[in-house]
Amino acid sequence: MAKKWKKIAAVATTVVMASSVAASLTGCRKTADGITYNSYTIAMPSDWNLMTYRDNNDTQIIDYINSGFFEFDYLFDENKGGKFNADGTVNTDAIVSGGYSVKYSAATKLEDVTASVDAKFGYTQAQKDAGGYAWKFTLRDDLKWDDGTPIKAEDFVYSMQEQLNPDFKNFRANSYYNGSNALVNAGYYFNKDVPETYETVASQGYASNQAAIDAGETLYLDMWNFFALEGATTPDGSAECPQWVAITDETVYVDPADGSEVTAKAIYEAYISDLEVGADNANCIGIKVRNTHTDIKFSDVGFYAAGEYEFVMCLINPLYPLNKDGSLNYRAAYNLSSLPLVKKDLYESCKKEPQAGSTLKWTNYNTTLATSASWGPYKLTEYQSGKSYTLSKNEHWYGYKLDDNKDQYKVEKISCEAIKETTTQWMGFFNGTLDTIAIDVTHKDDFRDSKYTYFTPGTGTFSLNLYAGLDVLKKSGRNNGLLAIDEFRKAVSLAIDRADYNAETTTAMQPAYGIVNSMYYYDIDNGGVYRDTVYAKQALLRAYGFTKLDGDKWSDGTHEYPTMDAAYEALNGYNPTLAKELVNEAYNKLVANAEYYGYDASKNIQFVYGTSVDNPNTRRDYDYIVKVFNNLVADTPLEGKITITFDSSTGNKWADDFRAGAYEIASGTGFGGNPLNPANFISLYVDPEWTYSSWWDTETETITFTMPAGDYADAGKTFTMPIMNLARCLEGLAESKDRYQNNWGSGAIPEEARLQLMAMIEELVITKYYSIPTNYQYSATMLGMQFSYLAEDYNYFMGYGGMRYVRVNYTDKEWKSYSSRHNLEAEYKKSAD
Amino acid sequence: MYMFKYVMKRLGLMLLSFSVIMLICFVLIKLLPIVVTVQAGEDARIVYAQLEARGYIQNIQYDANGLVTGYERVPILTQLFIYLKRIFVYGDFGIGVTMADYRNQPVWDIFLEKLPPTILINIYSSLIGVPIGIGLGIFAALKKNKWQDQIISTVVILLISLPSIVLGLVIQYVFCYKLDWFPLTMLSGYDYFSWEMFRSMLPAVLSLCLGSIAGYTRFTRAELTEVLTGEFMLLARTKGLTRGQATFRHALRNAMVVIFPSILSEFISVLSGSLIIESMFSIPGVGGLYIQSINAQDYDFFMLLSGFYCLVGLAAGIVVDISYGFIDPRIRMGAK
Repeated sequence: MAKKWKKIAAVATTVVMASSVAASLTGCRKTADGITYNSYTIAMPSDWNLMTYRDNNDTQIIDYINSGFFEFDYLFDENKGGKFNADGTVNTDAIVSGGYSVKYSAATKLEDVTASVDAKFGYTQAQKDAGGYAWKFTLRDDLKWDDGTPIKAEDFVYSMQEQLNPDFKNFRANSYYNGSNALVNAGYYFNKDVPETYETVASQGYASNQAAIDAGETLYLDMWNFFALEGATTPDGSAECPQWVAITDETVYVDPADGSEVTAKAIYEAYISDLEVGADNANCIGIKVRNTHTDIKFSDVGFYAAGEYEFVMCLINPLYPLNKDGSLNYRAAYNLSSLPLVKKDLYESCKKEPQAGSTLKWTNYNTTLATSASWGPYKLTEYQSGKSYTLSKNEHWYGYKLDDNKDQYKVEKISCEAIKETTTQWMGFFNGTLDTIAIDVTHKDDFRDSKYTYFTPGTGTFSLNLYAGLDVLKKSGRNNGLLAIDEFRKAVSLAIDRADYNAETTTAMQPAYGIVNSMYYYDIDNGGVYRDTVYAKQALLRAYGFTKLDGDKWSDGTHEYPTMDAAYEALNGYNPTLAKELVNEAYNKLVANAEYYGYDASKNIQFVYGTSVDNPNTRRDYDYIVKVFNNLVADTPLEGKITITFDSSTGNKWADDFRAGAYEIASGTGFGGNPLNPANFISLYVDPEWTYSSWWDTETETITFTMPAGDYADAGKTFTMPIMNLARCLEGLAESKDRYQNNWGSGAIPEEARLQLMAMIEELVITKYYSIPTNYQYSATMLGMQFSYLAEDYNYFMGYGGMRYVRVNYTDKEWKSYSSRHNLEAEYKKSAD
Repeated sequence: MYMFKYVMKRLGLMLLSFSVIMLICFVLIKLLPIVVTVQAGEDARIVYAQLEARGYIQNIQYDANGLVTGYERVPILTQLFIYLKRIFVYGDFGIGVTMADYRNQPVWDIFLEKLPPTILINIYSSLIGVPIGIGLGIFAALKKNKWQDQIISTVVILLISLPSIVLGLVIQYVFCYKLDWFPLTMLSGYDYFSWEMFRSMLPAVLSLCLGSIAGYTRFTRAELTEVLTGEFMLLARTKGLTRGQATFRHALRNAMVVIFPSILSEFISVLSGSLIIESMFSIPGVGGLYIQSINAQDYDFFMLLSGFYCLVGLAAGIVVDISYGFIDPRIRMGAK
């Protein structure tokens, strides 16, 4: 019997061991030959519907399954042979560094038809004469979905109607009722189910509340926001206090805060000056504006088909995508390249009725393999939620037939897997199963200088945000009113050695001194970069304590620089000596005004460093910030008195929590995007809707300035206006948002004047020291040896050429063979030198 | 009959416990402040309108500039009513709202898609871990205090001391990266029973089962050692049974009364998935999903997964209790 058990045990052991051995023997993966680009992602795309997508994760697929009407390309020097060599390959030597061209792709023609569109779109004669409002697109006649279904103009019209469908309230709808691509009447159509709104008195054209009353308007008071009466009821409890109540209304409501009885009429009369046009709380007085567009039809929206392959889009704001000679300029590819397009039959089948308790319909179009459709160079062929996706060449894409696309799009498959662990990602890159990797801080020393490493600038600027709202600081119980003292925040700014900070805590970020980096162009045609302008440079110099001397000389207080550029080169924002002096000043102010700042000398000062996650990166940053503060207060009366604690409990609410004052230090936060509109980008820092400095009342705080000289109406005039107003004026939104006066948008006044005004706002933001710029966005990635980029130089519009131009060095089989025989890790460590 | 009554009673209690736990889960997650993320380029009014449409908020307030100035939370009981109605009337478990990887995707479909890898890895882990663990435990018990036992005990202590993340890392580095025996990550696709898929799961399976093997070995050795010293074992040998017969027919069966429930509970605990192992080997399982849903406050995902784990845990309790009766006929649940 014992023998029998021994046999069973032996068999079981053998089976287990055999499994392992068999596994090892089949270790060689079978690789079908082809050309596959293997990448990874941290977060998988889940909604690649152009109408509804939320973030850049989704654009991983969106970018490949859609086409553009116009597209950027490298500029090839015809004198060096043009785009192609005699053998049909792309002529790399002819690429003009920094150059670009714009070409037709899915469209074949673009015409300005402002003068001839239907009168219902309401263009004035002056607008018709100026042109730029209505554009007719002529499509290629061979556009097809990935199943071969033809695409015609009506498909775009249907898609736009669905984009703006008020029953769905799709996330991306605002792209077509706000901003540069806003269509005539699109906002009315999207909001046609909103019965009424309350608009400010000024927006309705009245100079004062009394003027509106005299004109017969009824004014309404925002009882909830002005007097915190949300939840208040009539004394008998029979009715709740609505948000908006007419200022003549004498209905009594009981204030839930103290039980007192109030009426809208009494409140208005008591605070009449605070609610006047231009006063702090003017937005709490409204005029009820009924929606007169509840019956609007989509045919009234400025988007319609003008033929089988032609459609017209009528814009609210003019756009000039054509040069005088009729050729395309950058605006065609930048502003008009993409419009939402859905496959009608599939989209209709994906529409879902509202969930129980909901009111909006929704769609799962482009969220799974079965609900996906492509009209781009690649199509989705595999998708496993949360795991991976594969894109394969779309044989119905028109672009493969174009001569201009020869020797391009060589990658047959793009395969992407969700790999969250950094170690797994690196092992995948080293064994050749991944073709790209983002270099993280822990690997930067080994791979930063690799010849396979590529640096990519981004539009983001990241800052150290310090909470400075004194009322909230005093209530925090952390004895930290010190942050409300300007000198202290300035000291913190001067105590950061930004070069060292970036080297220690980031892979490739660059030191930031301004809130706008060098990716922002004010004049792309002529290479006009905002950061390189004399106004932007001078603004930074002044902000960091430089003073202008005679001639072009500048001084930082200790050194004199012969030219502004020399001073700008020397600018590093780091002055620990001055920083300590400022700390002493701040301390004296704190002690002298202890009650005002809520300071208790017997207690330590506590700051909370808040972040969304607790990981090595945030810990590294926290440690560095703590070091900065410790060095700053060393040998000052504040030495040993400041403690900074790490808190990652805010999670996804980190931004709102900072704005609410839940913590005082938010590091690495900032903005990016919209690189051809620096005025818009700067406005984010002062716009109450976006800024992290929630306590900074830019709607009220005014700025006085004299308009720069020039040949325009307002030149030389002095204005005093709220900071936010100035920002909006620079964005050219004065016409569309009436509360803002004066249109100083692009084209409305000389660009030189705009640049000076932009620099003025930037300087103002920096010298508040609420958001202390620390990093300009820059990332470092490696490209595996199976592929290489067409050009080694980064191009603003083309990057390194992307999937379109990537060169293939090995097929999948060749690569498998090569990578199994070579030590890729050692190869990837080789320096570019 | 008494067994049937006992099971029915336990099922009834399980249902009650399940309802109470789910109610608590629903209330707790809804008590957290709502995450409202308005990203650059988005219209805040659409973001709030979407939340209103999901039944989370109501009475959104705008000032005269059209800026959102506040909103009210829909009362939690109202939300609960809507949620229950959605499930029981429409069979609708909702869609992903806040988790970037699963936005606009049906919660139930995602759950069903992610369950098989987790279950399979758990089953494979048990199939490998249980026989090896028990076998080594028996062997160590039989060789008590001899060099074989010492070696096994040392390895067991080592494996128990090492967290699965370290084991996973070592396995991944040695077997997947250096030796290239296995892929670094689990293969994509739904062909779960192909050899290639099985092979790609093995590193994760080994990472999970090595700890289990150590646990079973230690447990079995301890129980068996105690049982082997019992007087009835001496009786069994004196009546003529061989050592093997006495060990497997009498000692092991007695020891299993304690060991078997631990196997079941281990099985259940691994069923919930391992966040770290799943992340390390890119396994599209449910392990990470639950944590993610809590962090992102994705209500529908959270409730479905809470319900699943709650049910699994409660059912496991019943199964373990009932299992005692099968292993040891002297134990009769519910018998007076």
